[in-house]
Amino acid sequence: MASATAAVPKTDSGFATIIGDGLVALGDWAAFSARAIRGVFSRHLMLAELFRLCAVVGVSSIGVIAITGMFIGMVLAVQSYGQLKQVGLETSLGAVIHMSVVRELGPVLAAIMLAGRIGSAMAAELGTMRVTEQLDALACLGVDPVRYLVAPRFLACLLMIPLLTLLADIMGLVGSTFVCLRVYGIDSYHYWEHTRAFVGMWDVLVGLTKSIFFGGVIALVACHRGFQGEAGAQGVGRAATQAFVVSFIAILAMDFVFGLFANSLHDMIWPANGAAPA
Amino acid sequence: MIHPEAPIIQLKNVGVRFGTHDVLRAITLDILPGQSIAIIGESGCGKTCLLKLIVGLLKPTEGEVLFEGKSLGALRERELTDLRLRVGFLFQSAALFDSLNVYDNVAFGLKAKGGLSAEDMRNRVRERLQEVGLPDNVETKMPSELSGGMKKRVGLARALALDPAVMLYDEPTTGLDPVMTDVINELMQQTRTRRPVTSVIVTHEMRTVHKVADRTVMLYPLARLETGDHQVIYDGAPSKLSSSTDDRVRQFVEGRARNREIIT
Repeated sequence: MASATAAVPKTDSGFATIIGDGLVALGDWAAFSARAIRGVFSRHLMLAELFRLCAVVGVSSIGVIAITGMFIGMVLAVQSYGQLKQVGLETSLGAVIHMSVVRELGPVLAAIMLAGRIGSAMAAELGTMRVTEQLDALACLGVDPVRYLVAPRFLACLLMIPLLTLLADIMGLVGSTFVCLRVYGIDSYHYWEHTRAFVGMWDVLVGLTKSIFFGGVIALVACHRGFQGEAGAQGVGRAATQAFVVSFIAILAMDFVFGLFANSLHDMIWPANGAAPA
Repeated sequence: MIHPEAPIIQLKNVGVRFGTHDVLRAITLDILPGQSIAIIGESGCGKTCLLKLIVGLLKPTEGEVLFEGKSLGALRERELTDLRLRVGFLFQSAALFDSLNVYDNVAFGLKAKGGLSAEDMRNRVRERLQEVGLPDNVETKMPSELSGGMKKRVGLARALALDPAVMLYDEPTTGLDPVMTDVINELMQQTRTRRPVTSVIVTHEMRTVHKVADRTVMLYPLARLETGDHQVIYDGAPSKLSSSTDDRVRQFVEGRARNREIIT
């Protein structure tokens, strides 16, 4: 049941009010997220809708993620080559680039593309449903809108983003390898040897694991913004923009925290020399 | 129409506030089973809020709403869902689900509730579509392919699919031409004669009030109310509206603008 005091335009200003409002919004989002996550385990979860959303989130994002992933790899190669060549380490380019792509750029790039392409669309779609009273209509027909609409979107993002991240990783690798081996003529044996020595399964797993968290947060932020959308075309547009901006900040903040956590975990598991088994 | 004594819906001293803005204050209303009650009043006086209170889409900030003697605020989620399945709601915009065709829209509540075979569900959907005057071939159409009047009819069919005990209509004739307005009025009237349903109709349309309602409640915007005055400024038979002693009621019924609203 919605509270009558929920859709209140805030007029007070001041730091304390901003902090207070922020905490209230965070609490609201947490409660919303908990309902959505419970919905994943509900018997009402519709598999047909889930498959449709997986196709929307995953299949339709393949092209854009493949292209951007490849160019990121190529740009990294171009930017790093000059500097490493000066110190005679150009054969290490593979290790440097692939480590960056697999641990950072692949997951973050896939997440940002997902937030921009899918998150905004979700917020706009749900915002429109709110404005046109379709969310109220769902509730009146005995269906919890959060469980019905948010749970499958959350799950679709959760399932699809590791695959998209993997695609971004592979395409980044293809792009950078093409530039390094074909354009700059780096010796392929040393290039791959360095890659094999420095990039291991641990790095791939770290990248894929954090991408799952990114995907979940993107879906929950986007759906929450949509559900809180204000009336009119402007309100729907604002919800879509907020969904992207909040997701973007959350992705980068989580990336930082996850990076610290992953490094600590790594040092805890392999304290001797700090190198994970490949 | 026979009205057993216990009200089916009760609003007890209900108030709704959005931040610092009061929309409803101290509304007390008993609605008897089988009654058809029209809620009228100027835009922004809280009519739609009142409907949403009845079905639990809004929580009152003061007072309580009771359905068959049970306070909505005390109900658990499951109980509230069961209650909502007994209430049909025709939204102002019809609120059809864009991604579903007409059949799936009408069948939506039936599927959510469960307990019907596919054939029974199909029969129920067809029955309701026929009841609102729509042919079978409309079943496969998407909402975007329908006119405003057809959307309202599909919305009505969807609301009636679960055989509700209470029907809530939010401005059912807004945006429709006079002929379609009459069709919707007729459908609301037929709905009452075909089944023992309690109707609450929010409307600006006086023809709807006279045709469908047997009781009218008029709300007045709180912003223009004198301190201490009650927000319900009329509660009685539709036929007595035009002879009300309250000038604000007559003004609304006759559609007269207040002096300060006339743009010179």
